[in-house]
Amino acid sequence: MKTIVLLLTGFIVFQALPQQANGQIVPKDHTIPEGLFIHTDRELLVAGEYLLFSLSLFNDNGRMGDKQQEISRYAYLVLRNEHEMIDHQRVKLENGSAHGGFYLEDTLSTGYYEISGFTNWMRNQASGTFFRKHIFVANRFDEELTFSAGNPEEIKNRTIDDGQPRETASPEKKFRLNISDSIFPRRTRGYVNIEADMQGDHQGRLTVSIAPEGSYLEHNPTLAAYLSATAKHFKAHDPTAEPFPYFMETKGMVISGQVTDENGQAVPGSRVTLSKQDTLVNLKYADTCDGGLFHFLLDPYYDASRLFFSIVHEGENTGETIHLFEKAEVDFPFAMPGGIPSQEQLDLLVKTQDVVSIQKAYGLNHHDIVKDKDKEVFPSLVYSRANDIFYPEEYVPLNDVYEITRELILSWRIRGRGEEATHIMTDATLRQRMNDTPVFFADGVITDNILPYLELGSEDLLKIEAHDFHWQYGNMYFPGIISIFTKDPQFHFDQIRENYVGLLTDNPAVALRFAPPEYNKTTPQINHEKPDARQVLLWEPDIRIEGGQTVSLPFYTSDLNGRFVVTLQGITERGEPVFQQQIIEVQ
Amino acid sequence: MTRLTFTILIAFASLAPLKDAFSQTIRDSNNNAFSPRLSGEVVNYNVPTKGSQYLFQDWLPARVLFQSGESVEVASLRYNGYHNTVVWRHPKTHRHIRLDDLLIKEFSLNHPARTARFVRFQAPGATETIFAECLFDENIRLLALRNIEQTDQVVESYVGTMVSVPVLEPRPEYYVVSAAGEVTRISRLNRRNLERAFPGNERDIRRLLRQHNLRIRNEAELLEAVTLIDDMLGQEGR
Repeated sequence: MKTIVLLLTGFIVFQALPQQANGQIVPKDHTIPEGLFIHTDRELLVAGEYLLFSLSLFNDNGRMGDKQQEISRYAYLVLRNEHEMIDHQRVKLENGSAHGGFYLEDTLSTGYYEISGFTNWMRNQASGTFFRKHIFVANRFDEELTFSAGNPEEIKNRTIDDGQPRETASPEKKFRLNISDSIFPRRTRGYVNIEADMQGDHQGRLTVSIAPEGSYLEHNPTLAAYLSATAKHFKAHDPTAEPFPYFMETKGMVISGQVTDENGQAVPGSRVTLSKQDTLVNLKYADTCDGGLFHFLLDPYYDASRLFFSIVHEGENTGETIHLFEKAEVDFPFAMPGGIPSQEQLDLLVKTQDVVSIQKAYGLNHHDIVKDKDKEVFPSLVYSRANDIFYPEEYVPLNDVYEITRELILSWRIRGRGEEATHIMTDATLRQRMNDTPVFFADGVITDNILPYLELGSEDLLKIEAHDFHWQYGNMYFPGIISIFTKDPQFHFDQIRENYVGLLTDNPAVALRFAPPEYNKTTPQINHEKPDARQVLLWEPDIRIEGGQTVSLPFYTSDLNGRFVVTLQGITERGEPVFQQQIIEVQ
Repeated sequence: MTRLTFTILIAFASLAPLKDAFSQTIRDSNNNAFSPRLSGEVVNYNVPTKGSQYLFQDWLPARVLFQSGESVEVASLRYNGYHNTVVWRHPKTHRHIRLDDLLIKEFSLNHPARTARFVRFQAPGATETIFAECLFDENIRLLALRNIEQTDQVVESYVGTMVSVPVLEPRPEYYVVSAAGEVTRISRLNRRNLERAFPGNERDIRRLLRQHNLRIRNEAELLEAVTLIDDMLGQEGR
């Protein structure tokens, strides 16, 4: 009986202990999947224009998420055609929304392009939850507008995924859309008025655009269609299953990867280091978990940088390899849309080619970059300041590091030369030789190959930091640290590059503000020096409106006449999709 | 072993997997997997002394807040008032590590009697910041430098040899930081020194302290007085 009691007690105690997966890596078990929807100002464009977008993140019910709930802070947008990825962006989300633009390079060929959007967290769901829509881009110099839409027979039977036809209006109108007039002269001011007819005080997150009639593709999904099509792909996490491999990026960008051995098998318990080439000694490390996975949460310090990943080999190198998970990778094939643009739409594209040519000739741009606030960055420093710093240029020129250590750095000794060279440090506190080889950093990056750097002389070196202490950094112990900073980091680093897996990170994409010229309604201002050939009369990507509120948005007509469509799209806090359109005419 | 006890054990055992599911749910990836790394020099402060070098003799669980705003929970931390250093005991190797304090913004030691929160503080005339315990932190702040100083030296037998052993005693220094940011050192604990920290309000403070029969002879009375003064000045400000 005593044995049973002991076993039971042990079992309870074991279960009550905090669970650790191989030390530390346990992804957060959110059970609420995410989805996102992208509105664009148009869907037919000409190369050389900006494609403006707004992005809304919501959970699996379509709700915007309550304020207590954690949501992703970054989304990834990919623009591609059937052959290749054209561009991608990492977009910073503020309370689940963002807006910006893709510049469509002049060299893009005529044809269909796909914009897809997702968060890191959405990667845990089927890729069916990724938002996808098509745009049609015409090359500015393509007079024939020749493009591939696939096999003509196939086109007849083609449908896009689970998408539904574009709605003409929301079934139940939550918002009243009123335009100040239906016909406007050129270069005048008008107003789009949005009245929230919702009960209670919940919010709506809306986007309004005014673009030429025919600027939208018939087959692209509305938010309602996207929600119904993707709902079946959402899955809650099964607590008994393996943790989700992709983290929700609530605090910063997370870089994940896997370590495998020479047979391609996952290697748990391996230590992966990450450093950025810099004038600071920085280091992050992560130990791989059961599936050989590792993850790094990155501060903005690591944005727009070249990062170097390597494996710490405590014994023999057994052929372990690091595989980084691509942030902007989509693993589903490009899907050609059903149908081709109508003749009216092709005519509109021809007109747009002329418009873009005028814009280019006069250097007209109607978008301002919204500058992000400067933020303090925090590298993962190994130490705050080195115990000794030497600037070789301040002394008599010396031929190589061997001479520099001999003459200047008393705490660092190198024995032998070339392949035979070994080095050791003296502890600054105890004044005793340390037993092991100090850890070496080259231009901020940890490396175990010091040899290429020993030949550098005073004229090659910026500084040498000697941190002559027995030093602990998390679970890593360093018997002294030597950091060499060169005047040409790239040149010298090329010699040891093969030991690393590199990654070039980007900055989060900048937000764009639509900035049209402003006109007074009563006195049209005709500026003959510069034309106003805007096709987009209004782009307001982020309107927050509460029940009972009215929002009035001014817009300005351009020199172009014709029929324009006013589109109101968005989602309410309760997950109800909003879609309304009205036609206005400019004469 | 009664049948009741056995039944309770069985019930707990069956609940254990639920506990596991719960703990997995509440675990925050960004707090656990991505915790910042503590770094510092491996030290040996185990020299013979009479009197402790530490504010609290025991290793205590603590929370360390980095300059970056990230924080990490550690199982064993102490404040060494003799060397003015924060010492972390590594959970696996049990090495004692003097933390690189410039990377740290503040830390809290969770002593059973109280949670001692230490913040970076630059005393007037000092060239560098050191950690001071924040005893009170409202409109005005009361900070204590937890200095431990050598007051004497005795010769004692230690591991078979006669060695000179420093005699250590706590010598805290108190600083009042006014709402306007003016720093005043309370060189000796008494009413007058405290009143001087609030120029222009001396008379009101004297009245307040008399009213509450506070003579400021120890840290507890100083803390009580600062609390009352903050309340009084706050009300005047409103």
